Amino acid sequence: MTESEGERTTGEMFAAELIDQVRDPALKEGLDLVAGKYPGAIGAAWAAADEAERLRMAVSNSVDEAIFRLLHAIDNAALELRWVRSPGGEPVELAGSSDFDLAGEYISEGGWRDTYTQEPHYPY
Amino acid sequence: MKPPGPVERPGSRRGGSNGARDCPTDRWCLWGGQAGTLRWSPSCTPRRASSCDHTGRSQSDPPVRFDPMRRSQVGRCGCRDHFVRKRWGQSRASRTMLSDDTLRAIGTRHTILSGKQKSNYFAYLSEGRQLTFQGVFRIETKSLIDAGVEPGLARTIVRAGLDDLIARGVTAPTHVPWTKGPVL
Repeated sequence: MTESEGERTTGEMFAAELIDQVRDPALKEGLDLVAGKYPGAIGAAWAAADEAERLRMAVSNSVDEAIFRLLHAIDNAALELRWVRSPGGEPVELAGSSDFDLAGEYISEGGWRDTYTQEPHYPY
Repeated sequence: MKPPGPVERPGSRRGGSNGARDCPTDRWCLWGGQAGTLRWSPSCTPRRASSCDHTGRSQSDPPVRFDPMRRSQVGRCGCRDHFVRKRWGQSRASRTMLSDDTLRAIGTRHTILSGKQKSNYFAYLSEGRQLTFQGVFRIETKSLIDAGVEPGLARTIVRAGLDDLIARGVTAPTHVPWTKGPVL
């Protein structure tokens, strides 16, 4: 692949992929939540929540959905991203870097989100 | 809405062997979901039993189908790609998925299902059991049900996925989902 494909630069191609894989699907899920169309535990929590709590849920869910989508795109190599753990270090391929798939690690009960976040979050 | 068509019981076969039956249309419904092997074709659209009139036409539910994975269309818990995955590029062409729209239509979401899958595969691995297609069927079906999908539809979808894999020449799981290693 060269720097550009047709009229688009690498940056533009990455941006299009990022939006297609992460931003738009996450937004769609978030809109489903606020429309009361989301099933599962978080859907039930939404139905029972007051306005203030719903606002917190909507923000939290949107962030979690976006991160989930990003990790899932990495897992499936739709976005082949590498991470440098420390300055000057070797880039590490993120896909396959965990014992489990990144998206599942993040969103599952007892996963990364449950373990590391200091902010409100809601079970799916 | 038309009333649902008759549902054959196991043993009253319409075709195939080993109790397998086909929906009397060129598409799927839960007609043959009780026993045997269901056929799969690109036009197959498993539907909820309550709304299927065995004509292949949907009365209320959008079709459930697997779509080929493309780079611009990340796989979404297709319940049949995880356990044969190696690395992208090696098996991508044969990987398929349930789209977000399909997951939405059957009453769940990708985030919900993904969490259930991990939990159920992890529980399976914790027991030190060998992963077989039978195990995959149980895990994936349970995951769909745990994620809110109607049990009969969940079984039909997973069976469709496994049948398609077998039709593609896959003889056994080669990868345990959420692990780096090969099948135990």
